[in-house]
Amino acid sequence: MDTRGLSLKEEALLFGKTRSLVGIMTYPSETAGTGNLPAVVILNAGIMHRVGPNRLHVKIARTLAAMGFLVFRCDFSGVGDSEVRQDALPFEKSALAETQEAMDCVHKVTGTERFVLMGMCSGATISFKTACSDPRVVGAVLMNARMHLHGMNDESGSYARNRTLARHYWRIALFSSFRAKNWMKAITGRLDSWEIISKMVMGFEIGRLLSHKKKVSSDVNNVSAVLSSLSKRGVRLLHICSEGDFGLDYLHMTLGDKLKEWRSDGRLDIETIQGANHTFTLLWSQDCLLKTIGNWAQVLVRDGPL
Amino acid sequence: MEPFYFGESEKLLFGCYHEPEAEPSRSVGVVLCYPMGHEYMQFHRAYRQLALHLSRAGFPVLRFDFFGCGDSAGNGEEGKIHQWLADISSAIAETKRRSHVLKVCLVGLRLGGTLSMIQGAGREDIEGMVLWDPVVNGTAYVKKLRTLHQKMLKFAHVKQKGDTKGGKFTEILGFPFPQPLLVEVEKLDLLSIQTKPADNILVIQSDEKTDQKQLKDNLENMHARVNFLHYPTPDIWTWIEDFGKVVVPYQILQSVVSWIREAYP
Repeated sequence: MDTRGLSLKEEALLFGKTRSLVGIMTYPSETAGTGNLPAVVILNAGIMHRVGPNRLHVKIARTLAAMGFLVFRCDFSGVGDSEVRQDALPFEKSALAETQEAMDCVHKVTGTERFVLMGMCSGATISFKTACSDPRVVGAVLMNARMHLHGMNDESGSYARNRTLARHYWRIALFSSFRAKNWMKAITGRLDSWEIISKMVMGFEIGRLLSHKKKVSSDVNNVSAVLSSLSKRGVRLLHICSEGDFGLDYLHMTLGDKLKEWRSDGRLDIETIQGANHTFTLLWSQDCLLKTIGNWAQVLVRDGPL
Repeated sequence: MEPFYFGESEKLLFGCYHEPEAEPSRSVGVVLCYPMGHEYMQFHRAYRQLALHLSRAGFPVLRFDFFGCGDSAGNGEEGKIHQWLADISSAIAETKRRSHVLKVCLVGLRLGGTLSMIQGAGREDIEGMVLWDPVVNGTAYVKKLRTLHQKMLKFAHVKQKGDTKGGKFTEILGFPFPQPLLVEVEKLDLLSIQTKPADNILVIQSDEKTDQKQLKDNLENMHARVNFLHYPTPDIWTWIEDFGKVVVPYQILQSVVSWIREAYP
């Protein structure tokens, strides 16, 4: 959606317990004429400030505001313009707490009690984890989410990561739309081929595969329980995966045969953008991402959350 | 630090104002002018650090996003040189209004440096200026951006598709450059400026491949007091997909703060 010519009101806010976090509120377009929609909170992609890679978060916020959503883009502590926390709370906990503070801030300003969380990369993981623990979240858009279904610190998390990377490198080398480019890079020595080959082989090491088989199946059961509980709460999840990112491989490796089943019963909504990289650098891929999010949000406008 | 919007209602600019944190506060305010496109993304963190250090040294500091960039109003396709020059004027006025200083020092990085110098040459209240790897020659800058874009296409996991909206703009590393803006940028030539942009000027060169010495000589010929610092820092202007690898050049930040402190005690 082209937002040029639309007069959208944006406001900078300090929020959080110590008013040290920075966020930008984009108010819904007055012409959109939609009421009772959940507010959208967009979280940082890694250490990139709230503008998002290639200003994508600004574009997403304005697109959704033009559709009638109130959108809040914010910085976690120590990222962008937000101050560093003075306590020693680890990021996994502080990010969840600050996401909830962002929702509190939006609630105070607008009275909204339902939220859709959005994030790319680590922002997707925090969105997912918050959706699992906070009943105010009615939807989440997870862009290139990686490892979000696992605990990153446990053994199965690192095992899943190795397997994911192995699958990713095989897929990029053999089936992706940039395979020719990658082979050229390997042939001309502009790629650390040995490291990649070692990951491709290590990821499928037979011994580890057998010893972890039980663990992996229990992971699938845990993930199944989490996704079912979100589904019962009426939380709508959209995964958006770039072809060049290993988030897609992660979903395949973690969920295996269940992936197809859950996609068909609506527990998982997955859109893949072919030819796009992790941060959606090229403008056509940004447009494609905006369209995908816009279409998903349109369903919320039409039907409301489950 | 206070985040806020300022300027014309249809073209609001986002700014962060840093109150001076040391007593007594200095009599000169500092306005930070960001670079554009991928350089803006990569140097946001460095500029925030610079603003914090300057405010701790007692300076009121305003950093702001140009129209169509960052959190400011407008789309990337709407970028224009004359608009961005007007944005610097608005930022200077806002800094004076908030801090009650009469003079300001502009710190401009890359295209932000170029715009700062053009702005300074047209007014008399710019006390000092830091030109950090300013774009001296617009044609060379555009050529370099195009080269970086081609390199990115070669190495990143991206596939090029079609042209960009009927050729109305050129895409450079994920940012749209409308054709009229590219023409304007290509015409930029800091060596053609004959009016002194400020009394005190610090020129910083970190890029090995560009030569800022001729700019320094030109400024000296205009009777400006010029300091020149050369910090070879290879590759800080290249495109990086993994933002975890973006460098904050602390040595340069410290030099800027020291120079401004000494120039305006």
